[in-house]
Amino acid sequence: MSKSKRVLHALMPFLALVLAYVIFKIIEPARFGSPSGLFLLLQQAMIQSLLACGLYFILTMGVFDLTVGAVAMISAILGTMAGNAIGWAGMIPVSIVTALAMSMISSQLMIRLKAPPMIISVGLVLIYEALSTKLIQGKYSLPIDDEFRILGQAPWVLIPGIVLILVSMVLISRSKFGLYIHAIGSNTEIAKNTGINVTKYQTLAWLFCGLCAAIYGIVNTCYTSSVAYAQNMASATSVFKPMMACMFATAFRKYLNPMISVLIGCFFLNLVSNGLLCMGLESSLQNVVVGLAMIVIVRFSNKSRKYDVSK
Amino acid sequence: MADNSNVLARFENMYKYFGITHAVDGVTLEVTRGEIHGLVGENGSGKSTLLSLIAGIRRPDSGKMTVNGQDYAPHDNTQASQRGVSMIVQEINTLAGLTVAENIFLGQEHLFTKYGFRNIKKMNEMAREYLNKAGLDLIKPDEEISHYSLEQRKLIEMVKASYIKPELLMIDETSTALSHDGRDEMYKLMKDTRARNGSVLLISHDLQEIFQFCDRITIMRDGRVVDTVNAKDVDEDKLKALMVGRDVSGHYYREDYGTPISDKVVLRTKGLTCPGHFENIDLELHEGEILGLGGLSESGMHEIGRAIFGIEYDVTGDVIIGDKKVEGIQQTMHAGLGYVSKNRDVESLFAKASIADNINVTCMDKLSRGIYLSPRKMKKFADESTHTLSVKMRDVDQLVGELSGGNKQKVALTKWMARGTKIFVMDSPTRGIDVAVKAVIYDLLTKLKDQGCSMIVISEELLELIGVCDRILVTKDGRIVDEFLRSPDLSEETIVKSMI
Repeated sequence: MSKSKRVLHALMPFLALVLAYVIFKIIEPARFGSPSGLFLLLQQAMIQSLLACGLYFILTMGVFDLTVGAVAMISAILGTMAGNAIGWAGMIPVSIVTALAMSMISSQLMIRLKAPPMIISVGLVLIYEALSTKLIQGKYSLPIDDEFRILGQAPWVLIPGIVLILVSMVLISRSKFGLYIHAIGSNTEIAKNTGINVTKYQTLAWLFCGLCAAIYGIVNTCYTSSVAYAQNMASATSVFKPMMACMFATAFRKYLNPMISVLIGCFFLNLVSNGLLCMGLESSLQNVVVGLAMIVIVRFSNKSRKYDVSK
Repeated sequence: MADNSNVLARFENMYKYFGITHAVDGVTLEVTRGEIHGLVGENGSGKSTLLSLIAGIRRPDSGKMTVNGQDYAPHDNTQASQRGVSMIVQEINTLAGLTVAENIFLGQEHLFTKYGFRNIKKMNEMAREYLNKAGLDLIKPDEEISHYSLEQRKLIEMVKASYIKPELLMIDETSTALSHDGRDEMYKLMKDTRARNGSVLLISHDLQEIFQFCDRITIMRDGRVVDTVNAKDVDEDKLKALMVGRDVSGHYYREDYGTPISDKVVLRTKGLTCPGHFENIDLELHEGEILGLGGLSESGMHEIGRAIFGIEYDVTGDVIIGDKKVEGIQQTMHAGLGYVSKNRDVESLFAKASIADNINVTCMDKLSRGIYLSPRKMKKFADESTHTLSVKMRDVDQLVGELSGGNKQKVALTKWMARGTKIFVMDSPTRGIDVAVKAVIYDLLTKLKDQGCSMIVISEELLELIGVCDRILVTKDGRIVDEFLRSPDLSEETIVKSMI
């Protein structure tokens, strides 16, 4: 493949963004696309990217883990409780330790039990959600003290996302950890035969995802000023957009560091949702359009790769 | 037994059981320095399992291994490499999603890692150097490996196995996945290893290859060593007899000549073109005919077979079965055509499904009553179907991935026969298969022909094409360049002249 084609492919996610912006700007010039509105969408994308960065490692190993949203929620609930009691020194460590402990449980059950991870993750989500209801004790949500809201405001809300994306970029493309995660996702048996400690790296991936979920939980709670409980798999819906962004990133992995694509994917999804909202489209139809847009982009990317094959 | 001072590796009383199957049953084997040691036997005789124990892919149940006189018990490939033992396995052993360089150096990241960061530039440069040495200038180290063909990936595996300059190089039935040029590279690697006073353990079903390169040959049957002989002391028939435990006739090809072929055309292609692979392919297949497609691996013949079945993309032109133009796999299958892929583990069989499921899945029209499938009927159908080719298995519930290469191929053929297929496209039908199963398959081709079935057999084995085909089309640079009719006078040399 020529260098110019590679550059074109690498630019494709950015072009998709520009295209979506131009289309909505033409349709809704007054209501859509103001600089302040775009900055707000970027903040939301940056928060979702926190979860997507961790999720990318799990998905790359070929596992669909729906517990990540519940892990973020529970860690945020306990972190908020600790934070409201003793401040930042309570919120951050409690959130992180909770998320790591829950991720450890999820990982060991999914790795060691001879059952499909998807089934285990559904079971765990139901348990975690029931726990969240008990923790909040009948209220709908748990508000945080005012002192924490600063992390939910620009520019501070962007900082954790920027740092985590940079760290994840290095981990996924420059570290042994990232390489082994790809190897395990490609073929676990060959990875084992090559001497890779598969269980160790799978566990590390879950722990990293847990760390990301904790940071996401903290930042999102500060952004929305409260954390709510979830029931009936509602926590899994918070994973929906980050998961789609990860698919987007996987499709462009060859041309662009996936963590950049993850951010673009989240931003793209928010941009399209916002554009449709400005057009007055009802929310169920918005999801249809967002879903279709993602499918078209990923399909287009895969189609171009199909013809790269040198037989 | 060889002189102890010259022994490189010794494997003593090796055992490996899989349930009730005694895959390796008390094998003792010595490899001396500077020798190429052949390992032959029927499919399922335990050769590959033995090599996988030596390479650290599997752990022996018991047994003692020594290399250079020191105990040796690797837990994986990387540990084996560190002791100078490397292996090229029969099936694809590279990881999709990783680049060529990442695959070559997987497990050896410490060579390029400083403070936890991988130096990708340095890794790619080193991979470039090794690829160039192997004559693989066109393969890019930073390209994802899945963008390369089966053969190119095998060649990359050869680079991976050889860059450590192994003392003991093990090659498991690799040549059948390679073109002539690829094989030359493999032979060069074997000779280089021997020249360094290293040794090669070579599994091959190509007995000519075994006789051409091996100094000693160990014959295995049912998990045990039958004998170890000097290559110069035995001939092909003796070796075959030792392998299968009875005399095997050297003539397992068809012996009829001049048999008339029906005028009725059952399959025709018109202007079949796939950019970069082949163009303007016009061919006709007659009722009861075995039509051979021969050429170099990259001549486009494999892609022609795929295009006829409908799995090659970007194809223009027509495929006509009977008098009906077909397009795509569904229509092609409905018209009575079945395709056996060269890459049977990926494209022909579900390795993690049972033999019964693999066979029944193509026969749903026969087995289903509305939406209902009777488990008893499906099992009975699979049972009966597997009897035709005597698939060596525990029962039809056994996973296909657990079968040997020859038995997998029998299942791949059975699933189409059970469907009542009348036209077969078979790409490399005897790839990685021992003489006994080969004989079964050649016999099957003749029986299918007698039943009026028509077959396109694609193969790089010219003797096979000469032996079984009524007509051979030679492909070169994506075009059909010559045609030969079945004749006792037809020789490999004549076809090679057209191929090159």
